Amino acid sequence: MKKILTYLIISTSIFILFSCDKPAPTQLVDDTNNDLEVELLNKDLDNPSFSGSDTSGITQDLTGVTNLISVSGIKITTENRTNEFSLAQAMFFDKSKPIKYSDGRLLAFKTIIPGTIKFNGTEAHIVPYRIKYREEGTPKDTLIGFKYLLYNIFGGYPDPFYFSYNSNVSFEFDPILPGENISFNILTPHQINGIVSLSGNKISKNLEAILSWNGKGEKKISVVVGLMRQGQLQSIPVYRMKTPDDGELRIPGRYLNQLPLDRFEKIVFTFVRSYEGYRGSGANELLVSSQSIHSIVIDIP
Amino acid sequence: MALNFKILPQSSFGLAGYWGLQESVTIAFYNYESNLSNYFGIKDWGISLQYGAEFSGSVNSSLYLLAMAKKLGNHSLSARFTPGYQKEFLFATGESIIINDTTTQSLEANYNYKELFGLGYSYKFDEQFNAGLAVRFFSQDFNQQIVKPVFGDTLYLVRETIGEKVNLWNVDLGFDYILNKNFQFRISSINLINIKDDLAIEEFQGFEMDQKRGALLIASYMPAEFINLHVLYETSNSFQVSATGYSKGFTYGLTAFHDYYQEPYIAGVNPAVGYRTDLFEILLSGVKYFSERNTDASFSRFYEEGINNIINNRYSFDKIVISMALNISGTPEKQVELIDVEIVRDIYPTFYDKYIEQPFAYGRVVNISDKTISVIPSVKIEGITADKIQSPPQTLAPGDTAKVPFYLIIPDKYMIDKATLSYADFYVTASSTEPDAQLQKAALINGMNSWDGNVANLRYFIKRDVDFSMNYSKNVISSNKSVLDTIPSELSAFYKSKIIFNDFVKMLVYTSDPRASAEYVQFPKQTIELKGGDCDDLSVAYSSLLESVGIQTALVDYKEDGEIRHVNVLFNTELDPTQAKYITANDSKYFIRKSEQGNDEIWIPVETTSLTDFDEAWNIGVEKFNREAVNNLGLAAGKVEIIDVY
Repeated sequence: MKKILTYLIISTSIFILFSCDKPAPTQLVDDTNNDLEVELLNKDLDNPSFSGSDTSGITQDLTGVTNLISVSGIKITTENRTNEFSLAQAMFFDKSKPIKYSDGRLLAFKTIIPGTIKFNGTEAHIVPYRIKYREEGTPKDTLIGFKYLLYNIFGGYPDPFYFSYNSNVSFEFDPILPGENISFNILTPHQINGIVSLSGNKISKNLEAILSWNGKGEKKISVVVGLMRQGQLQSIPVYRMKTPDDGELRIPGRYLNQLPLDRFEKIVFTFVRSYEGYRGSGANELLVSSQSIHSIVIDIP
Repeated sequence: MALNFKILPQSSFGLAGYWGLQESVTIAFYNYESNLSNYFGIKDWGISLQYGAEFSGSVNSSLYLLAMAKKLGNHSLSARFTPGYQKEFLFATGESIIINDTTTQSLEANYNYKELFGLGYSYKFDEQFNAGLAVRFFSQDFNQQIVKPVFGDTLYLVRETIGEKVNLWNVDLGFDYILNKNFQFRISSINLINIKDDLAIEEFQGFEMDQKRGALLIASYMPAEFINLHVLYETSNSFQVSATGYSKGFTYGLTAFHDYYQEPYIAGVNPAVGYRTDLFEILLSGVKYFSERNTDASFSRFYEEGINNIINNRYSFDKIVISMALNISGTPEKQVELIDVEIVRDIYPTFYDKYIEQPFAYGRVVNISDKTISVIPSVKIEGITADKIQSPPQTLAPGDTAKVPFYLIIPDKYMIDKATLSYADFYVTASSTEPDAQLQKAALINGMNSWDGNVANLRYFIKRDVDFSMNYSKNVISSNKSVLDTIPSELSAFYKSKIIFNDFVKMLVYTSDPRASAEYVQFPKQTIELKGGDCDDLSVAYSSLLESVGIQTALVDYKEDGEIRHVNVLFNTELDPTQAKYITANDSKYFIRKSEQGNDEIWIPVETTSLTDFDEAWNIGVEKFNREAVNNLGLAAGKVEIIDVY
């Protein structure tokens, strides 16, 4: 009897062992603000196709946007010096006039100048609008029309346009064709003030960046990581990282250390806090964007 | 990442609830969770398994535990395999990549915490106290997707999975104290010693099991077998309250638990019901949580609070568990119980064969089987006997209680100078070579010169140095050969005794026993070498010298002589009464005793403490004998006793 029971319990155990499941797992739902969305902006760092990390903060593809009004407060910190700029621009696209690559893909639309535009009461200049792109490995640029522009580099020069943070910028449009004037205020975000703590070095491939800023806990901010070659002033954007506006982001080391940093002298972290909203619909749809931008340029250790 | 993560290894929660220390339940004792001293109620080998199902919306079956245990006397060993003791968490890491400019792909992670196996050892010091330790092995599998930039001709982002397995050993100690049948107490450590691998990958840092030290305190009140109450407290501020019982083969229990890390205050209950025989045990138990359980949960809460137990945490699901245990006994059932032992005689090693005839201890045994059994008592005394000394078997009817004697043999060559406190292990064996029960008692082993005051036992001192005595006597006789050759052979015994006495006493003085040891007797060799002794020592020595050359002696025990007991010697002259005239004309100076053949023989008393010469010692001996034994009727009243040495 004992033997039978012993064999029974051992064989049952073996049968159970190989036939049973694992205990049920628990799926944890991410309700933290620790998420990090990473987008690669340029695959070829020698011949960047994407130059969008310019000071305007307009880096996205504009083919899906009907019309655009953008106001920006910009700071650039290089070593211990910080320069501040204000920028306002507007672009109106004629969707019936596409500009395409030679293979037929859509690049952009021709722009139009539908009337007069004022930001904070100052009339914007109408300037040529040229975009850069790369086709079959060759960098090219093309004039797609004109755009409205105001910018203030220092003390109201050349334009007396001042971007006010956490406030608004007034916008007025006086059309050439018969119709009513359009005016509204563009809400502006809090100024973003970034700090970058970069440790390690590129030789040991142990760079680590801890970014902090004056977090406001609203929506998300973007951080564009770019690289600058020696002697050049323009950076090549590499990543756009979106993260909650909670004041701190540790960029995992692998994002930096896998880059060919020995070919570059400086690394640029551009903090962007922006408000975006659409007005109107159809052909009159308007993307209104305001942003505070702080770019920090650091020598790669 | 998190620095305060709180995933703890197992603590006090068992899937069958808490059962206390009683040996009527086997299953619970394979659970190290509440039984770190892992003392369990098996007789020889034990196998146990726990298999169950978890209700998480779907039903997942698992083998929770497979255990084996072995009892070796007071040692217990156990090993268990716990494939079902694991908890897996799946979650998005918070990191995502944008692919083809539009699609966002989130990265996922899978962390699995497991207790894989455990080993236990315990030792039962006595019926009240046992202690043990449990060693458990945990494994933590971390797997996570990451985005890694790869730079070749161009830069691109690849998604890859990184993983790391981190092992952890945990050693804990437990102590049980059984105050009496009603009250039992336990104390155990939690995470006393922790040994773990270093974590290499930074993404997983902060997610390892925490190893906060703590303690587990348990008190049980068991007023009757059918109702036992237990309270278990963990220093993490969690507790369990349990009521269990056993009646007519059925076991039942209900444990309610408060877990500091779970809501509500009473987080859940473990009901259990089972049936057991001496051979097997089966128990159906369950875990019912009072809070809602979902397969989805908040990451931030997990991140902030962790879990404190792999199988019992806020993410655990209701379970139903069937436990089975089998007692595989290589030894027969216990049939007899040794209730108590009384040592009735002190042990005098010189009385080497005395305890063959007279038991030195009696035990009270009870037949707990349902048939008539033959009980063999045996004893082993540390320092005296290497093996158990068996006593004659006793037959006991079912349920009967009997008094069984324990006999003892002391080896001839055993020597001990001073009295020593030793331990006697008493065994009773009914059906096999292994004892059914045993008891240990302290026993006083006296020194070789110790004597119990019983004159009859002086014979052991007389016989012990017979070789020495023979040499001594023969030397004396040979040196007086010329004298002895001239006397008739019938007077040989008398003259030999006289010559030996005169030689023996010429260098001796009377000395009392050493202070504080009135019952101290010298062996003949010691008396002669030390040149003195008291009446016991001198009588022993003289008797030994005569016996060694074939002269029959007896000791005269004067039981009352004032306050002092006295001993002297009678020896057989081997003369018949008609020959008495050859040694004395005074017929009051000898006594006639019958030999074994029924012949009358002349015996004369000698006062060995009269250390002058034989004639004087004879006169004093006769005078004392006549006065005490004859005139005062000492022999008839039993106040004087003649004890033959052989």
